[in-house]
Amino acid sequence: MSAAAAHTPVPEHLREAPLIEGPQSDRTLTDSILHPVWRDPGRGWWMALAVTSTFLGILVLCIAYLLLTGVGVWGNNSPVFWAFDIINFVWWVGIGHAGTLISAILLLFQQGWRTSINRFAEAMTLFAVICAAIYPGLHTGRPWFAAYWLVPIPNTMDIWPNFKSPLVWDVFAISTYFTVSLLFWYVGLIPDLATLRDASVSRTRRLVYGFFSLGWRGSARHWYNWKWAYLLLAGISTPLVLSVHTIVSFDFATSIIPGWHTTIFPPYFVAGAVFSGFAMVLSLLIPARHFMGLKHVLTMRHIDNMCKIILVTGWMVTFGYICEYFADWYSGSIYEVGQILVRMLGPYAWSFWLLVFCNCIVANLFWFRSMRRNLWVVWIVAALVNVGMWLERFVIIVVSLHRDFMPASWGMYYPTIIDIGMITGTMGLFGTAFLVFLKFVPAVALAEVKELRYETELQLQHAEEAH
Amino acid sequence: MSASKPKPPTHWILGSFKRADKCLAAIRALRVSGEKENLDIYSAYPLHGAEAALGLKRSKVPLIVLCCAIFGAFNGYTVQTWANATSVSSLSGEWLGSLRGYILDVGGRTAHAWPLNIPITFELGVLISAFGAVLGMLIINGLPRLHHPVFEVEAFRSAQIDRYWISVTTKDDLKREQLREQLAQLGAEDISTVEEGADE
Repeated sequence: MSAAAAHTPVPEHLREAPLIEGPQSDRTLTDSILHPVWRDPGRGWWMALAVTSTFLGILVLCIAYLLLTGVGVWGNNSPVFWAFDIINFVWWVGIGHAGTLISAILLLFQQGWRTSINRFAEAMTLFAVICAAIYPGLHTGRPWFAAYWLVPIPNTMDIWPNFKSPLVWDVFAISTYFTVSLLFWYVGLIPDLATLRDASVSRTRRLVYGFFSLGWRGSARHWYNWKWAYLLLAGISTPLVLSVHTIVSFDFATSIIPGWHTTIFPPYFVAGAVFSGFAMVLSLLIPARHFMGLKHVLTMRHIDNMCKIILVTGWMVTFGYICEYFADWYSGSIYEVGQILVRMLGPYAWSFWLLVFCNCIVANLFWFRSMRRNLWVVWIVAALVNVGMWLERFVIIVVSLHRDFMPASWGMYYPTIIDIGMITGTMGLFGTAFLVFLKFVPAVALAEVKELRYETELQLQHAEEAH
Repeated sequence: MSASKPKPPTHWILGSFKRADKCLAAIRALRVSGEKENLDIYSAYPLHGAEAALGLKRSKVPLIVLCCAIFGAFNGYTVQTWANATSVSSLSGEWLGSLRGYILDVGGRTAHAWPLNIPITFELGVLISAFGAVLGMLIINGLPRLHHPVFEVEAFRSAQIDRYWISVTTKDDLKREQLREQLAQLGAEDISTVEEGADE
């Protein structure tokens, strides 16, 4: 709010809700945000951990069985050589994108509401990228040999990666994305670890958090360099996050398969990634803010804003579908047109129509303020969007592959029990990592929330003085 | 420490403030009375106006990041071209031979097709600049660091929670008392002194 705006008071119902609710001081914010770290996690946390770690155990068993037997334990086979592994890979990477969007792009656009959700979303990015990376790694069959054709390792066999292959670009994009996200997350975490160190009463915690806070003492000279590093990381993460899903979409777009060979893929993959990522943030945030007592910093305004982003990106994705199908029809290629018809009317038509329902229709509930404020509706829509985005990758990958140019090579794809075990297993890995994160690290970026509180206070002071 | 020549200990005079504006005003007053490089502010979040009050020079982090970006992108492009588009036959043997490139002919495409090298060139530029930003920031800040004199003061814990601390250093015993008084006049609380390198 500018100083001039203070002269004409804004009516109550048009005023934006505050991003930090209630009268808060730095002390109360520290106490409330660190409370979930100090307190006994409670029965609910242990029960959730028991469920997620069971699925994690299933994942470990599935991977062990796969490595001992071979990738034949998956359902992929001619003509569908890419199936659940690549679907899940693209799905998990896409989910990660919301974290970087919130932490980097919204920072550059100076959106104050990113502040309380960024830590949360960045952690989600890290765990989602770990889940994603498991799949292509295992898909190489023998990952310990794959290193020779994925990264340039000097060797006497004259083996180098084929750098003209989008699959090799993927390796670099995903590993860079993970590393940069981890660095970004950790840099933001250092001041909060220092707060944990200095607010803790037990010596063990003091030592552990002291070790990870690298001796941070909050000096203005340090903050000055920290702010530059943080801003520059945001600056380089912004093109990075756009490049990652663009490169993932190149895996398909550079091929000649009808349904893959299209130039609309990079932008609509990125929009779809943000769409599903925000849905995942909401699915996790709504229960977490309730159980962790963080409603004063993760407010309804945050949820409202995220719903609006889901609405916008949902329409971007819908527009992408329309463009894609228009281009297919306009190309006049019988294979491209055939692919549209197979999607709509073929044996997997259910997946296409469910996808249209989840991605293009359901999110329109968010046009209504009352729907954006009903947490049950928001949570269910978010879950459906994640289902829809998973189905989108299923339609692109499996449906495009199962009927290509030659009817003689057509076939069906059915997942095996190992495929199912691995997708639920990666969800277990994701959930376990997330629960551990919620227990040991503040889920809300404390230093940044304090800064926001201070800025808001200053603005109010200026407004009063101008009055 | 058991140095042969005992160096004069550095005195760290610390004081805390409840309000950010008081803290910044105190720093400005201390700068007027001649203290410069020996001043510092400690806060739980980046305090606006602290750089200006302390008169800090421009951060070197952006320059480091720029150099790292150029270095990373250059390396990314070179490695790809070397590995896929050159094969220097004079490199042979177990060590040098392992570095020899191999002209990869896939689908009759030209060996050196620069547009296809752009994604990895970009990614490596980003990767190395991210390391540059983080490691550069830590190195300039002198972190990680296991210990620092300010941590000797128990009350200094509040710097990471809800208070604004300032520190002034001096090697002069007489000036120490004078600075303590000056801090008290400026409204600082919890005024304490730590001797660095005296007896540990």
